[in-house]
Amino acid sequence: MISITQRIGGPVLGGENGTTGVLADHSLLNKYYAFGIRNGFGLAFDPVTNKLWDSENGPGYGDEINLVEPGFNSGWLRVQGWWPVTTSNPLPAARGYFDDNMVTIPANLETFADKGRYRSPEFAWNMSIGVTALEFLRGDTLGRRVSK
Amino acid sequence: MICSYNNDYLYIFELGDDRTKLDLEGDLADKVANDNEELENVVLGQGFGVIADIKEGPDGYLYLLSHIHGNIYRIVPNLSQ
Repeated sequence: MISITQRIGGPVLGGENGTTGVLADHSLLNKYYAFGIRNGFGLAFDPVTNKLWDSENGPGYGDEINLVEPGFNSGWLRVQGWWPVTTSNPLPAARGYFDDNMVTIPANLETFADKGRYRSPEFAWNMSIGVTALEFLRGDTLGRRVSK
Repeated sequence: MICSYNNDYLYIFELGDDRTKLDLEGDLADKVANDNEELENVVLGQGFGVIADIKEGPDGYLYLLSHIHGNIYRIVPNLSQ
């Protein structure tokens, strides 16, 4: 993901002359906005907060909806959904994660000198269903509940 | 928030008060869908195939682009209710 600026929470590019990027003060790391993302499909800005959200497809388990803050590390390939990735070829024979292990703070993640921050998904599917598009609704044309 | 899936469902999630989390209840409060039954209360629609993109139109209706069916669907309120 290339670096972009969000109005809420301050600009992504800081420092003198706006030369400090998200993950470092030099190319290419200053151009990354988020990383550790697996098979991203949906991308949408919340029209109220201007925050970015994405959706991702896991390897048979762990499809995700995420809030994507600057420097967001989505965890792949250490973790997908709330579940660890334990083999070099993680594609399972059947959809779903069948062990009891859950991960809230994955170990051994790249942080780029503490600039990259892992954040758990805001929602995850144990059994992959293939997340695609995201959209926020501004109006209440489709009903009050839908307007949120 | 609306999101769509290639298991043929269109889901809707409400946002929490500060809009940094989803407002999840019941079996979904743990932020995990363990099976399709747990998702029944957040299904907005079904039968659109793989939804490649979703947009809210300037008219407030919801437009869905279906990869499988080759259609654009417009979702409108049921005014008979």
